[in-house]
Amino acid sequence: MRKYRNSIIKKSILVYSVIVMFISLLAMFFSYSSEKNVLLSDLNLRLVQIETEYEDIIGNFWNIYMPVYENTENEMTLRNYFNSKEELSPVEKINLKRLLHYMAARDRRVQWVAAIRNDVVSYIYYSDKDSFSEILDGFPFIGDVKNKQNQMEIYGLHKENDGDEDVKCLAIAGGVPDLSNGGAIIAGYNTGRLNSFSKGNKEFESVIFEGSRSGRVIYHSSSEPVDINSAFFLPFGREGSRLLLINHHLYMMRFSENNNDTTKFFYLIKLSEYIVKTIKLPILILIAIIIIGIAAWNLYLRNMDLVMDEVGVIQDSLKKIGHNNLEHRINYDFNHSEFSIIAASINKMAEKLDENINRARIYEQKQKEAEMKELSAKFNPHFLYNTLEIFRARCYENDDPETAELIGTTASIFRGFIGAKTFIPINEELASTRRYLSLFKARYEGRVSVYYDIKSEILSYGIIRNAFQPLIENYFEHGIDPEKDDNYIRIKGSVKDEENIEFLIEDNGIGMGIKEIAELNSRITEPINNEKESYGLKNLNQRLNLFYGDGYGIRIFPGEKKGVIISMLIKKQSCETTDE
Amino acid sequence: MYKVMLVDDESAVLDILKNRINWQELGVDSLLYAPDGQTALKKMAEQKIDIVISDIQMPGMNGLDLSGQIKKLYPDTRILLLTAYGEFEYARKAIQLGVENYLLKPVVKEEIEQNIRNTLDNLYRKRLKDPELLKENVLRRWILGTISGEELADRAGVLGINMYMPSYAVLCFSGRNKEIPTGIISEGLKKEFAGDDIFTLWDEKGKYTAIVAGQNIDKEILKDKAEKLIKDNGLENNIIIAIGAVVNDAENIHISYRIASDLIEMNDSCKAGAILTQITVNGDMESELIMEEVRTFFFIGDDEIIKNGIERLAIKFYKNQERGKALYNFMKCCSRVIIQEFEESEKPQVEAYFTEGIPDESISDSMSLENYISKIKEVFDFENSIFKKCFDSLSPIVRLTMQTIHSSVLEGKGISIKEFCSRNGMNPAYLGHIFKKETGYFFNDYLMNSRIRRSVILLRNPSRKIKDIAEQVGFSSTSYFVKCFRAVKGVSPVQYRIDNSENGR
Repeated sequence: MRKYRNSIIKKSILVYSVIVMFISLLAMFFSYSSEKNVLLSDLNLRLVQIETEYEDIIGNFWNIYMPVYENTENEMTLRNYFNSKEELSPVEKINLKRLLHYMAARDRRVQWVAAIRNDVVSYIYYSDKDSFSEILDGFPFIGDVKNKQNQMEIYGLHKENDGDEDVKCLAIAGGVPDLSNGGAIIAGYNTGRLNSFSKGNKEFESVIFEGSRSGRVIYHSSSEPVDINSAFFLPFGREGSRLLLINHHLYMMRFSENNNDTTKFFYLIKLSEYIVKTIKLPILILIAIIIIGIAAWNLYLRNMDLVMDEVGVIQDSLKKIGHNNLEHRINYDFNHSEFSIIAASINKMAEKLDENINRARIYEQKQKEAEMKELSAKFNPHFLYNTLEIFRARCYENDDPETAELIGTTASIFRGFIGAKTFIPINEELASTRRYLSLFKARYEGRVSVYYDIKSEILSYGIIRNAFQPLIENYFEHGIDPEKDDNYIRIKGSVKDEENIEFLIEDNGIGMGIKEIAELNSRITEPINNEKESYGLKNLNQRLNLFYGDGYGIRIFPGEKKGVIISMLIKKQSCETTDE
Repeated sequence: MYKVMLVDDESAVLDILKNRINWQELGVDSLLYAPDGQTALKKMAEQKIDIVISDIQMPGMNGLDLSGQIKKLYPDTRILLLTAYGEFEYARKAIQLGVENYLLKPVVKEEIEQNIRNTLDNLYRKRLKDPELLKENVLRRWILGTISGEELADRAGVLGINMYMPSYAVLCFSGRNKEIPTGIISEGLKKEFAGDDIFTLWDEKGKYTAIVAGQNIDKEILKDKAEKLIKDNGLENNIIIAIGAVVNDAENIHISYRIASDLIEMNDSCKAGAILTQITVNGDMESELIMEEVRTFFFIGDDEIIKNGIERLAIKFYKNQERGKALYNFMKCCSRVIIQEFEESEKPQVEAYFTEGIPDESISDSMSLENYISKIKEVFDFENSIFKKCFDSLSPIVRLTMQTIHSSVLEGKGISIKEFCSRNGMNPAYLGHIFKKETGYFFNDYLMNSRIRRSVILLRNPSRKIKDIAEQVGFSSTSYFVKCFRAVKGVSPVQYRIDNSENGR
């Protein structure tokens, strides 16, 4: 049954753990997702914004470009420039400047417009300075123009050293009316707005926005463009995201939805930064769950321990009580009220047991006392004494002093039987025993002798009344050999040890066999069953046992040569301290 | 004469005292009565009361308070207390009041009589009331055998005397000089018998007596310890020690005492420093016969009879082989009779003869019959003179009483103090008193002893019946004779006869 319950508990714990894990994973996932969305949404927006701006720029280019050709004058100017073989006249320069200015003015974003010819001088107009100058050789876009193939081409950022700083701009080149000599009109756009979009994200430090057209990087927010093509694409990726390895760093790349084959905008985030940013919350959640889990487990274990401790206390106490230590009580302040109730019940049970056992003992003793009292109540002792006194006086008158003495002894013996106290000085008990023996001696007329050997120091202690009488009766009934003349019974008494006194009653009578003695020894320890057994050795043994406790009583041994030795063990107890 | 007063609010004890006790024989002429303590004290103010017997539970002043008063006002008066069963604790406190004893009510005649006799004995012998008075009384009665088993068991418990030892023995110490160094002896005993109990007291005849109770006591050990006692304390010139038989029952101590006492008596002439032990189990019947004859001669006073009797004895001795010994023995027997009849104080007189030289045995052996007879006569005359001296120191009435007792015993006639007194016109109480005073014996005790001694002679004849003997010596009943015989000799008459016939003549 227990095994079954244990396995169910184990299974439930397992299931519970699994569910908790599952839920925690879900929670982690959801928190991750929401974090990601929150974090990336800004970037995505920016990507769109960059795209839009770019489209706008592109779109607007033609607005700049076309109207120029619609004006005949402008067209002439352009044609002149592109077709001339020589340097332009100042008037032609002014016209060109005017033209370029006109173009630049149509879009605020335009930083400069340049007319570039591959072979002769190119001119550039800066809108902010309103300056018109020749393009020097180091002009970044010259190379691109040379390689121009399409009508419109977009050139990515170049670093242009404008005096003190590098300026990145986007250039769009449009075709010229007459492409005989090559060249183009290029407008350089301020990427400020693009930059503001790409750098406006506060969350990610490593984010790089890039756009490319036909394989050519046209915008990049980092200082150097990232070469996608040299990157190693990891096989992971979901819609819109890819992981790639560039220069030993892992990046996450997100594409714009509007990407087509030619124009691609994306941003890159260092994977480490991305992970750190997105995983914070889930990890926190995980840690929290783990802590809670551990705490809960601990709490559970601690409670178990507490319970087991308290159970242990109860176990120990029960063991003590079980070992007959009925006075032991559980005095523990339990945390669990149920245990306090159990302890109280146990205490009560022990108390009742103790009480009952004591009561039984007292009852037995009272029984004996009552029996004695009943005996004394059955006849009026004074009547007896007075009658005996009459007999005694008559014996003296008839010159029979011996019989008179015997009658006197008998009266004293009766006085002893019906006496009030059950615990008397050993002196008195021995005197009573002597009287009792004198009656028996008279009966056996010199064929039995009585010897005493009592150490003086034990005379002051007490003993229960009528302790020796059953032993004497027993001797005269079973021990004495009527054929012999030299029967004797000897009563010895001495201190056995610090607490006890031992009496030895020896005789040289008929004696008993070893087996008989063993039987008798065990018989006298059995409880008294019927009236017939009320007197004699069994009664004496029980009385001693009841009064003094376990281990006290009588034991029979075989005599050295003949007869028996009866050992009686009592406690050293004085009459003053034993008040009844 | 002594006066006794009973103080009791009940009459039961008074009845016993009035009707059952022979006061005159004891030398008490009045028995007074008071119903309570106040009246008692009033009466005591009017006349000298020697013994007060008082109940404890009385209206008004109780017996203990009365005892205290008497002790203060009349320190010589002796007190016996009566207590009901269960008031033992009160009575035991009485010991501290210096009473003679306490007795259990209802009073048993024998017990109260024994106690009264003992108290009177104390009075006659002028014994001092020392703090251990009750104990001494008990011990004395114990060795004399005049205390009942009941009383002994109870008093022994109170006095801390262990009555349940394996062995008991009595030692008697007799001084060669006047003073017995009791202090030295007592200390010496305590040392020698360190593991045993020792109780000491003065017996009736002035012998210092010790009761030994212990585990390892036998004749040899006692002898060794007695010798050591004398040696270690330099008592070689002072005392002799007699060792009684060892008995196993406390109630038989009187046997041991009697043996020790007899030993002292019989060996009165031995040197100082001797240890006496019993050689034969029973008395020497031969000597006892001689003693009785001598006693008769002493008291009869008829020279003719004496002469013939002595001659007869001398011839008998002569016929035996050991004449010298017989002479010496004869001398000893005469001395013993004198010692028995008179107090210790006369002893030096007897010794005087021996210092003049004991007759040489060898000479006696070779004497002729005539010489031998005259030698015997010589010895007898010397002893007789001593006897006469002692006897004449008594008052005439006592002398007459003693002689009358002896002749009545010889004739087998009964005699009582009352008869005797009425015949001679005397106050019986006065006679009882003076007799005890001068001889140390109560009249009836002396009479009884004389009868028993006489019966010993009669027992010699195996064909005589005990019954006849009892009658012949004047006992009123055979059982009483047997009881008295046993009290004096320790064995029944029949047993005595058997024992002595075995010893041969």
